[in-house]
Amino acid sequence: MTMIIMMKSGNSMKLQFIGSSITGGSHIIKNKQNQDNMKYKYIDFANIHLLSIADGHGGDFYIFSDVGSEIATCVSIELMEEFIEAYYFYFTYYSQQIDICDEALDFFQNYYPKELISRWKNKVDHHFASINKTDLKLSDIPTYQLYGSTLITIFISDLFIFFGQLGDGNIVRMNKNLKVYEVFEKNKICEFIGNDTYSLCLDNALEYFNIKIEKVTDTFEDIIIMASTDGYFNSFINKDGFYQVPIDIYQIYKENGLQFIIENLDEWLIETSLEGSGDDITTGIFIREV
Amino acid sequence: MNKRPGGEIAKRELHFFWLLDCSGSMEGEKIQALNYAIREAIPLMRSEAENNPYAKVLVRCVTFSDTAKWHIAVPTEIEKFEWSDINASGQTTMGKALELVAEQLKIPPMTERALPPVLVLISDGQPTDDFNSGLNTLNSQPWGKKSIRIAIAIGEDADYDVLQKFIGNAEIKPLRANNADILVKHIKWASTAVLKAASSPATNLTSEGNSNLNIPVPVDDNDNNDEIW
Repeated sequence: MTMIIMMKSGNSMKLQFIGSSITGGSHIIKNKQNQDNMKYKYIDFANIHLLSIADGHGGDFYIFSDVGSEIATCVSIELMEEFIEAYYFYFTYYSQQIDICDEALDFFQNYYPKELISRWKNKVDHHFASINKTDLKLSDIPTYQLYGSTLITIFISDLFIFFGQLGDGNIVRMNKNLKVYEVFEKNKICEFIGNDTYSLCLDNALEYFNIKIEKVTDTFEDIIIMASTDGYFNSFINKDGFYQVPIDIYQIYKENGLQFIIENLDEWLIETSLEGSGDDITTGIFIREV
Repeated sequence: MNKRPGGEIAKRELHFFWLLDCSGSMEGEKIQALNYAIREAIPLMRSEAENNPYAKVLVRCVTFSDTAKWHIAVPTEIEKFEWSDINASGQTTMGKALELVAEQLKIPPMTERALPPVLVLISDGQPTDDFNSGLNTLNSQPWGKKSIRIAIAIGEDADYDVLQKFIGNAEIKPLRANNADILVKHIKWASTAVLKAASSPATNLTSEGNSNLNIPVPVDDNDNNDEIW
């Protein structure tokens, strides 16, 4: 199944968003559904973009990973909305005077990851309790692993940007010089190879939750921010091939406009999966109007 | 322009290594059976690869006797893979064979996006060189640690402890082959069921240790056969 989320425009920092999520070729062959999930929300009054992308684990063990990935994106958006609600006045009446970056740092660094994992587990418990387990052949795998999922989350406002990531997938940024770089550098080359990943279902998931918060200043250089599940990166022969994506997307945007991308993005992702990794591919792309 | 964004696309590579004992004790029926078994396995591997189109299966072979060397050094697409018979004589430099493979599991030439490599070690005896050093060298590579390892012990003189150490996973035991038929059966299993599982592996939740491999291991029916090596 493919979906395209229509663009939104902001006021101060003018961003447009487009996203798509497609079922991988290998899953189609096996009659499996898309394990990825994506949620995007634009908060109009405050010019805030919220994005969450989750990748449910592949393999016969993780029978509810599609549910796990959906719960992940729901909880992530829910928490970010709570932050906006808590600081409503800052975002509306005082956004030009009050610097809420310290509050944001405190929320996203100290509260958000722990609360997200906790809520995810609660919702998983709730779902597991509600299902009929009669015909299910459940082995000794812990319940949470059945729902295992990664998570990428982005909060973009005129004041600050927050990036969060647990597990594989990529968040890349591109500046005006078309230089592409990862938001989170891989610390060890062997951190994620093969099908390794960290996950919301791990007991020590909190240790592996990467956080980055930046103030938005006048020198903000990004013209593209792109988040994607690992099916996208794994489809290219090398990382330069993957980093070419935002470069090409920007070129296409300048030459043909956003509507052209909207009309073709899902087809491009399907082609990429069919000829590449075979995995589900989900991507969310912010393009800055120039 | 309707060209999709991004650079060159490629399937994920699955490197499959045969590590074959060609020592003097393999001479005669054992080496004949080994050559026959691998040749028989090729069409089955091709069939398995066709059923898993998102993995590009690349096969190589190391032999070890007085020295360890590449019998087939170039990673060869299974569709083009041809087997030329190996002969047996000399010692059992298993440790050196592991070092040769370890060298190829470095990044580069391996890439981060590859699928976990499959290593199938077949031996009828005990290593005559420093096996532990070779194993440590293999395990020092990230892809070495993540590799899927299968071992087949030919005959009753094979060192099961060594093969178990090579596998590095208490849940997977060395397979025993005490005659030609069983050897053929085990090699077919290693080259198909294992290949199938490795082609679309489950997500691995740990950053340490071997990759997940959840496949049923063949039953040991050596005792039901009269012919014994």
